Amino acid sequence: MTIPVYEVFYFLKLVNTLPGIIIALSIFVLPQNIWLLQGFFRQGIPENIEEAALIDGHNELTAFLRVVLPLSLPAVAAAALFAFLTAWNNFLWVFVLTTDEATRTATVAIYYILGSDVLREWNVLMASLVLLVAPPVIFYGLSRRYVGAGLGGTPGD
Amino acid sequence: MARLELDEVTKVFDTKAETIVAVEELDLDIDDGEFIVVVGPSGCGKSTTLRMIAGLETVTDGEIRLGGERINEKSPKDRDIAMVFQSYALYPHKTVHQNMAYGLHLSTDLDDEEIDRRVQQAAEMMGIEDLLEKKPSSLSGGQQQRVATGRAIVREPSLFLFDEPLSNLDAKLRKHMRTEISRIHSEVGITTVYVTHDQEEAMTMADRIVILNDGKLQQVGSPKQVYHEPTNYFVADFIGSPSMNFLDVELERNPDGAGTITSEDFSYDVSNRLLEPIDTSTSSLIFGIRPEDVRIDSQAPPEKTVELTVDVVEIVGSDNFIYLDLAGREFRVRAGSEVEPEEGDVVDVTFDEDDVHLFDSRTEEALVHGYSDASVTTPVERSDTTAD
Repeated sequence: MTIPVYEVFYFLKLVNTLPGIIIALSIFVLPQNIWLLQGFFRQGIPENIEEAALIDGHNELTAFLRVVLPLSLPAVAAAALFAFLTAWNNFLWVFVLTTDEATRTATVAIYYILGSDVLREWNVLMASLVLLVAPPVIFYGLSRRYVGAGLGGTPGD
Repeated sequence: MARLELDEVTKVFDTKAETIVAVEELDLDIDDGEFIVVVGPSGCGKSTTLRMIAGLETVTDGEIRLGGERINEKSPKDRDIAMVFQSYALYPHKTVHQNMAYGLHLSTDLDDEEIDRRVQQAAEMMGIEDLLEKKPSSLSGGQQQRVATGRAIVREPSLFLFDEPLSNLDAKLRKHMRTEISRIHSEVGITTVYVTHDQEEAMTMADRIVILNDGKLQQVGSPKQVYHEPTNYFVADFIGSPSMNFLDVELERNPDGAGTITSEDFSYDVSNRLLEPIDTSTSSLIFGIRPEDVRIDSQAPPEKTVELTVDVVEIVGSDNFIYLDLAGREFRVRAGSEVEPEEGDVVDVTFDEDDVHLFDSRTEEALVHGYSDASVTTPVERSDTTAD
């Protein structure tokens, strides 16, 4: 499956570009996010709240943006965390779509550090791993407050 | 304030599997300031009707007019209505004050000071001044109900819509809120459509009751009218608690115009005054009598008496509900607390001809009601609800 994907990206001149990586990883995490959020929107927010907003003076779009979305913050935070972790850890698509050091993500960069078997620099490798792990840990720490509620399927207070 | 008119309003839900006619050619004319209660069993189309008025459901056919203006195509926010939902639908992330002020912020250009004044005024009316800075999740069901009603009042709309607002409250609080809502309606005088499945709520609150069944209008009338002169079997059965006793009977006419209504184990003489409106060719009838119109009386004349066996006696304090056995069917009597027969006793039951209701057994339409209730057909007085 990687060959046709590579061909499409090559045709669109997206190989070895940051937008190409962003598009590829977004497509990769999208199904998981749709699955996570549709359950929340379907069951987590009572329909009457949206209807009350329509009567109060919103239209469908503003009712969603101003009332439903703020109430869905926990679910959005949970989805964002999962999307970030999945994209951050992704190796395959970045490896296939990049050859350039400038567009490579950290996960692939580590592979290249590991890949030189003439003289494996363990100190550099371990230091890189610490740096690789740091962003998800920080991001999780920041969004932890919302994630539990988001996974529980209840709207925030 | 405005007059609300529904003109042959129809709602059809068309799914792949089936077509459901939720509301069929509903005609209603609701006067300015009137309190209308729409009542009926689950699935009768009452909530759909309310949602069509609110603009939350499209109208398949017909026209809805508010203040003489067609509102079918208007979005909910442009209809100048306020609605109280069964689940209250308060915004959980906003305080009570923000919940109440939100509609005014969105739909009017009033300044903050004026909005604040109106929120305070509505909060005072609902007795929730000390809750204004709280979030809905920290309020009890009754308090949330008050906030939801306050949120509707503060808008000062042309029309109030209530969708079973008291269903989630306990019985005592429900009765209290019933009188609160009636009081508020008489204070603000805004046209109100109130949907409920509770016929007691309908009887106590309404200027006029609209009874629906299977999406069709059964009767519109004052509480007294629908109680004393139900237009058909369904209304007679639905209104009143405990519900009316029914019996399939045959009518035997005498040459003088009087007659006897009979069935297995039952015979009762009626005069020609009662039978006069009934076509002479009609003989199969449904006989109806309300439990509160039946007496247990051993002195009653035998031609007006039925002998029945006591099945169950329910003591509710003020009254006793006595369930009798009439040829395997339940026959209910609401008697005073001093009347307390033993289970298994055979008692003489009687009632006045004035309280008898007779229905056509084929069409189930009412043919005649006891004539003592004729006074209820006079036009309904509604001046008290529109005075201020």
